[in-house]
Amino acid sequence: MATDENQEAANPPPLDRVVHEPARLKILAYLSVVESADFVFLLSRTGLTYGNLSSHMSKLEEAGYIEVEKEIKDKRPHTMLSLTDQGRTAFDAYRQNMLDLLGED
Amino acid sequence: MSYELDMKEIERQAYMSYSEDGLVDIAIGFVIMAWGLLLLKEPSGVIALLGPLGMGIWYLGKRFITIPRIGTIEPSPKMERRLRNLAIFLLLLGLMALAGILISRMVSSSFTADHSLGILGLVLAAGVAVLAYLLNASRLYVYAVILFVAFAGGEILAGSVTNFDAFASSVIIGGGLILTSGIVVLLRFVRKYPRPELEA
Repeated sequence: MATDENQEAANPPPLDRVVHEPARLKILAYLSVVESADFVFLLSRTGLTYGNLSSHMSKLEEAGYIEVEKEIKDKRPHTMLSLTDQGRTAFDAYRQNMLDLLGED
Repeated sequence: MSYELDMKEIERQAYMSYSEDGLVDIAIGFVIMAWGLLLLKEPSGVIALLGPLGMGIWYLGKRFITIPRIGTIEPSPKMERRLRNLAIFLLLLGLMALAGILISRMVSSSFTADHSLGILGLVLAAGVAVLAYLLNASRLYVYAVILFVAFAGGEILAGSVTNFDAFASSVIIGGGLILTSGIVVLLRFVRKYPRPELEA
C-alpha cells in the first residue's frame, strides 16, 4: 500500500498539455459551466485577443475537446462553442490530477 | 496555496450578464415609476401594459447593448432549471399580489383593506429580494428595501388608500431611484465592455 503511494509520488500522472496551457484552461473552465457560449462571450471573459482565442480554439477543436459551430445570424457570422464529452472528461481529469499532485482534497 | 479552480466564481462570472448590465434595474425602476405616474392620473388599462413594456426594455437592451458586448451563452441544464423556477416564482408572486388586492377590495374594514398598499410593497420587495438571491446581485436587496419603504411610506403619507397623490409621489421617488441606479450601472457596463470589432 505504502509502496503504491511512493510509486505514485515518484511517477505522477502526466498532465494533459492541451489543457495545461492557462488560456485553454480558462476557456475549458468557462465552457464547463454552460451548455454553449459564443466567441464574443469567451473574448470578454478570458481577456484574450481575437487571434489568440482563435488559435486556442483551433487547438482545442483538433484535440476533440470542444465543438465549434459556425452560423450566420442577422447576416453576420456567429460562432458557438461547446465542450464535448471528451473535453469534459479531460478537464475533470486535469483538475483531479493537479489536486492529487499538490496533495489537496 | 490552493490550486483548485474556483468553479463557483467562474460560474458566477459566466452568468453575471443577467444582472451586470443594469437592465433588470432599469426595467423594475421604469415599471414602478411609470405606475406611480399613472396613479397621479385616473388609473386606466394602460397600467396592464407596464409589465410587458418593462420586459420589452429588458429584451431590447440585452439584444442591442449586452449581447454585442459580452456575447451570449446557452445556460447549463442546472441554470436553466433555476431560471425556469425564477419565472414560475415571479408569475406566482404577481398572481398573489393581484389576488391580495382583489381580496382586500372585497373585504371592507379588514386589516388587508387598510394596509393593501403596504402589503403590495412587501410582496414586491420579497419578489425583488428573491430575484437578488437567484441572480446573485446584492444591489437588488437595496432595491427591495427601497420598494418596501416607498410603498409603506406612501401609505402612511397618503393616510388613506384612496388618497393616491401622496402615495404616487412616494412610489415615483422609489422607482426613480432604482431607474437612476440602473442607468448608472448600464453606463459603467458600456464603458467596461466596448463593442468588439471582429467576430469569428
